[in-house]
Amino acid sequence: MKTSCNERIENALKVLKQKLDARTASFLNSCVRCSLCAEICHVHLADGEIKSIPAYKIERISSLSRRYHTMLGHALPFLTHSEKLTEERLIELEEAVFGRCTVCGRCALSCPMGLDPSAVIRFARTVLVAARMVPRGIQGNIDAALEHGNSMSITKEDVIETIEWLQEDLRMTLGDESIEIPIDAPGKRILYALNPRELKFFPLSISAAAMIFHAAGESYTVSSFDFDITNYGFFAADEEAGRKISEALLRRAQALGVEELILAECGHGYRSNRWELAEWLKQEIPMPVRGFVELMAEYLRDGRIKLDPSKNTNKVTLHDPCNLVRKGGVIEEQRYLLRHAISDFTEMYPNRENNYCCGGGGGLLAASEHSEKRIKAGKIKADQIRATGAKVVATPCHNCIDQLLEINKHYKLGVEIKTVGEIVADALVLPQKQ
Amino acid sequence: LISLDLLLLGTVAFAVAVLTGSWLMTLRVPYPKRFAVPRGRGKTGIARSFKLALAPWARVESRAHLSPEISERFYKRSFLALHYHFAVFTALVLLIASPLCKEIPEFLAPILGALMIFGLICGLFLLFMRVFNRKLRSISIPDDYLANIIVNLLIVSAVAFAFEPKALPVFQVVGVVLLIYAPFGKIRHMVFTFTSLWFLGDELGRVGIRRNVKGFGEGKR
Repeated sequence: MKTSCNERIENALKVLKQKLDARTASFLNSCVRCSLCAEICHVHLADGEIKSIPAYKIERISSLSRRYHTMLGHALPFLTHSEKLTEERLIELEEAVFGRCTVCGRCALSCPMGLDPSAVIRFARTVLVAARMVPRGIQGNIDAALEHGNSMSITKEDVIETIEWLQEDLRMTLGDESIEIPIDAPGKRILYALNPRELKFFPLSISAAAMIFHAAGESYTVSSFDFDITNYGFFAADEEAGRKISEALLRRAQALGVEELILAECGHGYRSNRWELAEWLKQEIPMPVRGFVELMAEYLRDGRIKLDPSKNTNKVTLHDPCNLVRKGGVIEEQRYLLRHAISDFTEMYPNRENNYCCGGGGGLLAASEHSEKRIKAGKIKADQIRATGAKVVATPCHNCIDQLLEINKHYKLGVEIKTVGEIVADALVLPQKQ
Repeated sequence: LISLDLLLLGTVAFAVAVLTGSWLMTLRVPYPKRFAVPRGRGKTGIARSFKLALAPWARVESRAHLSPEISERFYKRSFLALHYHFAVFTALVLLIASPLCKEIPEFLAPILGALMIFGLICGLFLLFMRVFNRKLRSISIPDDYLANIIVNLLIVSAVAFAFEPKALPVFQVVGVVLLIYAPFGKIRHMVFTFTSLWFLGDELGRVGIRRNVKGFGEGKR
C-alpha cells in the first residue's frame, strides 16, 4: 500500500509527539554534545565521518523533538537548532539511525550524562516505522515472518525434511541409531527454537545442538512452524510487529506444553524473546526463556555433559554479541563453556559488555542499501580479531556470524567462524552406547 | 542593591520552578512497570551510575580501546569538564548565598578564586575546542556556545566578587541572566542528567551488566 508523502510526515509527527516516553525524553534533554561518544562508536572509529558520531545521529531526532516539545525550540529554532519534520529530515534520519547505527549500546556505557543513545535511536526508528521508511530488506523480513511464520518463508515441509535429513546424517556419522531430533513432539521438557538461517545455511548448528541434547539426555523438541527466534520487528523498533512475531513462538511453546523455551544462538533473538516480549505483552512470560548457551553451561556445571578440550587445539577467541551480552546479560556462560571445550582460548580486547559490535547489528545485514557502510564498520572488529592471533572466532549469534564471515573475507583475516555450540559439540565426550 | 537581591531570589525561584516543572512534565508518564524477569538488580545499577558519574575513572572499563591515545583523550576531556563544573557550582553557591553573604571571608577568597580561575580556564579550553575541533564544531548548535559563554561570564564575575565585594551587582545581574536562560536551553541537562543516570543504571542493573556477583561457574573477571 502506497502512502503519500504528506501522510507519512503526518504519521511520523504523531509518533514524534505522542510516543516520547519519560526515559527517552530524559535522554534527549541530557545530551551536551561533548563528543566523547565518538571515541566509543565502532562506526565512527572505522569511517571517521562526522555523520557517524552518536551525538550527531541523536541530534537528527533531537532537533525534531525540540521543535515540537520545547518552548525555546518553538520560539527560537535557530538558537536550539530545532527543525520541522519534512521529507528531507526523514531521509536524513533514516540514514543516521539505520545506516550508521547498529544500536549496539556501547556508547551508553561511557556517556558521562547517563544517556543511552541506543534508546533514542530506537525511538527514531519508531518514527520511521510510522513514516513507512524502514529499509526494504528489514521490512521484507518482517512481512515474511508475519505471513509465513518465519523471516525466511521456510515451509513446514522443508523444515521437516531438513530435520529428518540432519537426524539421518547424525545417526550415520556417530553410528548411533538412538539419536533423534523430535519434531512437534508434545509434552517434552523444552522447545528448542531455531533461527531460520540455521535451516537454510548452517544446518551444522542444529546437528551440534542435537548432539549436545543427546549427550545430556534432554527431553526436547523442535517445531516445524512458528519456530523462528529472529525478530526483525525488534530491529525496526516496530513494537506491534515485534510483539506478533515473538508471541507466535511463545504460543507455539505453550501449545506443545513444554516447561521451558530455549533459544538457539542468536543475539537479537535472545533480546526480543527473553527481554522485550514481556514488555510488549505487558506481562511476565509464563515460562522460563533462556539461551542455548545458558543451557549448555548448566549441563556442563551439573555434569550432564563432559568435554575434552584436547579435541579443539586451535587458538580460539570469542566475539560477544551486543544483544546477548551488553543488552542481554549473558556474559560468563560462553566463556565457561569455551574454557572447558578448547585448549587455547584467548580474549579479545576490550571484551564482555565493553566489546565492539561486529558491525552487522541493528538489522543492518538485511539492509542492502547500507552494505558498504556495514563492511566499513566491521573494521574495528577485524582489527580486534587480528590482534588476538586466533584461528577460530566463536560467537553465540548467527547474525554476528554472517557479518564476521563477510569481514573475514573482506579484511583477509583467514579465520574460521563457529557458534559456541559447534565448538562444544566438537569437544563432546559422548556417552558409551549400551 | 536590595532590589537586586530580591530580583535574584525571584529569578532563583523562577529557575527552580521552571526546571522542576519541565522535569516533572517530561517525567509525567510514570516509569513503566517492567515485566521481564531481571537477571540482576536495578538498584545495583543505579548505585553504580551515581558513583562519581563524571569522574574520569568512573567508567574506565568502557573506555578501554585498542588504541591507548583514544583512552587518553577521554581522561583529558573528562578532567576539563570536571573542573569546569566545580567552578560552575562554586559560582552558583556564591550567587545564591550573595543576598546574605555580601563579602567572601578573606581566608576563603584566594581558595575559591583559584578554584574558579582554574575551572574557568578549563571552560574556555572547552569553548575553544568547540570552535576549533572539527568534530566538536560539527555536532555543536548555537545553544552550546551561548551556554558556555554565559556560564564563563558567571565564573568571571564570581571571581571578581570573591576578591572585590563591589563587583557584587555585576555578579548578580549575570546570575539573573543565567537563571532566566538555564531552564530553557542546554543547561537543563543539570537536572535531566540525574534521571538519565537513573534510567540507564536501572536498565543495566536489571540486565545484569552492572553487578556485584561473580561470573558463571568458575568464570573469573
